[in-house]
Amino acid sequence: MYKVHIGIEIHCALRTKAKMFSSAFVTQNQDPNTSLDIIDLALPGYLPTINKKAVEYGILVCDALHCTINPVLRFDRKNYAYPDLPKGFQITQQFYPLGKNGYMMIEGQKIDIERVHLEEDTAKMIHHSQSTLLDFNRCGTPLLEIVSTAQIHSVDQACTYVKSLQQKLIYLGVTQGRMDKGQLRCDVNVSLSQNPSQLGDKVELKNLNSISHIRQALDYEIQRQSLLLDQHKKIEMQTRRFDEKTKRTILLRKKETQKDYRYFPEPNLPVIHLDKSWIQEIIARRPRDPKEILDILKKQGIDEKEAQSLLTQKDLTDFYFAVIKYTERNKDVLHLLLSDVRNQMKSHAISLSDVDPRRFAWIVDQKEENFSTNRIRQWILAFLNGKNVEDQIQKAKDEQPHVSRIEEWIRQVCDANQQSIDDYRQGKKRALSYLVGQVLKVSRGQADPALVQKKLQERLNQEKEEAE
Amino acid sequence: MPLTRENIRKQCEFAQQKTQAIVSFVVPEIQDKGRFKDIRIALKDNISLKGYPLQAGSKILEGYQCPYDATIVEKIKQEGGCIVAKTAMDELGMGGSGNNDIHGPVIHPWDASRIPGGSSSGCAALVAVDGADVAVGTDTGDSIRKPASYMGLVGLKPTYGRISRFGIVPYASSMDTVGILARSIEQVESVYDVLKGQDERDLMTFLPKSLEKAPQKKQELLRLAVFDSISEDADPVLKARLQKLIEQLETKQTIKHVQMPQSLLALIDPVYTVIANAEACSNHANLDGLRFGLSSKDQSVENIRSRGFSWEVKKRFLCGAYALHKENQERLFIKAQKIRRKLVDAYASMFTEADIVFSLTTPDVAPLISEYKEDTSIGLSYLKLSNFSGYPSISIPFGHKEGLPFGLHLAAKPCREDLLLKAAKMFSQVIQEMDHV
Repeated sequence: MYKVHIGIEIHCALRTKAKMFSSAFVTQNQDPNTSLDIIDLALPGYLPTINKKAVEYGILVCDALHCTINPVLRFDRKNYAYPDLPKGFQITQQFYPLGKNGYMMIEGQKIDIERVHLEEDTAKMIHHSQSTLLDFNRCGTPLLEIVSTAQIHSVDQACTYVKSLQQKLIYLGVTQGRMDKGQLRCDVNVSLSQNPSQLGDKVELKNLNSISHIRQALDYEIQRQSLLLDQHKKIEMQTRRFDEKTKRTILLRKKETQKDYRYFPEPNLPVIHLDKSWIQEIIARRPRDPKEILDILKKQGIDEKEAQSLLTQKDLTDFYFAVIKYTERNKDVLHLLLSDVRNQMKSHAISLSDVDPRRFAWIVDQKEENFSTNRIRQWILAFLNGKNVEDQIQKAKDEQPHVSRIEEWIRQVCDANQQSIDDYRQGKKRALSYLVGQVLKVSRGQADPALVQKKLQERLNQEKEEAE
Repeated sequence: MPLTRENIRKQCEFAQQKTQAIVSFVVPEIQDKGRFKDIRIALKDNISLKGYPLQAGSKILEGYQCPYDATIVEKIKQEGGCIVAKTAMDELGMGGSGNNDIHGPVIHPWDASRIPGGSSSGCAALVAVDGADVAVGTDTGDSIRKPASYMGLVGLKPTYGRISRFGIVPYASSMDTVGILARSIEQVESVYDVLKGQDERDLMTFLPKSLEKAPQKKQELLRLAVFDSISEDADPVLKARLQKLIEQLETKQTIKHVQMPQSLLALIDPVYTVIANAEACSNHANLDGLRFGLSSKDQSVENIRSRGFSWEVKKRFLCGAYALHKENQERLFIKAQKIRRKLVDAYASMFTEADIVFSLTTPDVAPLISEYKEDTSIGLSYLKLSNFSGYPSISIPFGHKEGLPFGLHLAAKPCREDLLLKAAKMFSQVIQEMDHV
């Protein structure tokens, strides 16, 4: 059988306010060609600047991936002609990447990371049958390129690598990391060899927009190459794209000769010596990574499975920690987040950044007033949809009879329904429901059903104990 | 003569008849306040002036109109400067003859059979015939100082990075310097004072913290040195004048003599050719007709670029691309950078015992057009040392040969424009005294 060698190259769009070498803002959903500075169209007389935040984000990633950070910041020109590259070159870091010789642990195995470097994105090309349109909004967005060595030997491991890296990057706060939105792009190199210590001729796979695409593309490609090798045919070095409809990889272009990009240092950007203490400061201020957060959640008494579920969404995790600043009912908060809130976010496209954690916490705390979980849930849902629930809750409080009144009604009903009590004691559960209904009737619907049930059960069980 | 739109227009038209220096007449905005309020300023046509066409002497920028002002233009406008014209230049700054395929040659005001020098040819010619008081151009190898010498003007090339290049069509980014031409040192100085300064849009500009606040030393005598290696092959008339100047100076102080090895000086042109063209071919990769400039719906980028650039420019691009090719980079581009470093070190060492190093700007007066070819003699190529090193230098009027002007070149250490301008004034004084003796 053949040994599989997979190397992965990730381009991560950094969530800075401005572009990498341009002062224009990075945008997501905006009309085409509305967020541009002079350099983005490469108008005569343009000059690049450097986005400091992007460098900070780069440093965070280098540190998280255990890279050696180069404190001397240098940029180079990668020269080639293409309509989506207005300057005719991309500014990147060819000779002195920001970080190198790092690694990531994937299921106990160390995957070496060759380099981490900063560069800029190209414009977006939209192809029509008779023409191609260019949107330069994206042109110049800061990108971080992360290149692993070809030490991944299985499709599973490749998918785990990408997933873990994606989560790490999202939790560092440097990207939103949505593969479907092109914020995290993945190119995969794969080769097969009979001799496990040798690399075969590699094929590059592009246009992989999700983890499942990566899996499907690799599965197909490995099979394709295996067949060729079985027939003693040579694997041609080439670039292939993944076709999601047919789940096959298709030839994009052959790599007969290595393209020459005429790299040379960018003369319009000075060499910058980053202050070592500045670098240390950035690293010291780094956000907690998923593993650290998991430990914290476990210490709070939260089940590991639930914690992992929470961690799959950073915005949910951030919100959880924001809310528990104002309430001690962290398990209640967690359950709400993992069920109703998560669902609402999906179905109603709600963003948690618009939700006030303090008010959320206050609603959860209303459980104190003996309101049922169901009611709390309803209020939370209403709150998420922008409704003012304070009034509703106040009204409910006003209407809610005091516990002593409920206990009074219960006493009333129990006195009048000894038969049902006996039935309950004999194990007829329906008797309890009947009694609850009677209490609700007597209270004219004012009592909360869940509370009534709870109090009834308490009383009945107490009486039972006393009787025994 | 008071500044009015009419007068300015008349002066410009008159100047144009004599020199063909103007590519765009600019509607003058006459201001009543600011340090430049009575000054007519011409801009080389590689400087972005909002609302006006910019071609930088090249067909490829046909139809391009600037949607923004260069930083220096913003500064000029803020100080009430009256911009009167965009002036002709060698294509994309690449050349020194003052000729251009798209609007013809700039004419030397005193002898139409001679080149005006370039690439800031229009700038110099316009100022020389009083079509403008001051002109702002660029100097990448000699493009301010050479025409200054040939037309009897003051031409300053400040320290690299003292004036912002934002909004200016580049040539070789590591050497491009904004320069100023005028008929007097005082005018050059006043314009430099306004234009200099750090610009956050040009990261190669800087504020020389330590030097800006250099303690004003007492009226110390400037230490002077003459750059001997340069004038060996100069015209005898010019050489004699230089000798006379040295003798005049020696009555008041000792003049050192400094040299650089001829073998090293001979490398200036090949190094320049490699580095400047490499940077230029990359810089101009944005000129493809897709977003601005020369375009045609049915034509490919290849076709547009073929039509848009002159043969001279194409030749330089090829040279630059060749030097950057993977197989060649080590022995051409990288080697050239290393030699540049050696040249700069040797140049800098001349300033250890001298504040000012002087020499003839050009070895002769403006050459005849019929005899002109790219001159690679050391007497001219040495001017590129200022651009390799970034050191400031200035050319001031020195004398005449058969009615044609030639200049004296002064250089100083980085950020010592104060000493440079002081020296320029002192030298001018001595030159005047020389002629009255």
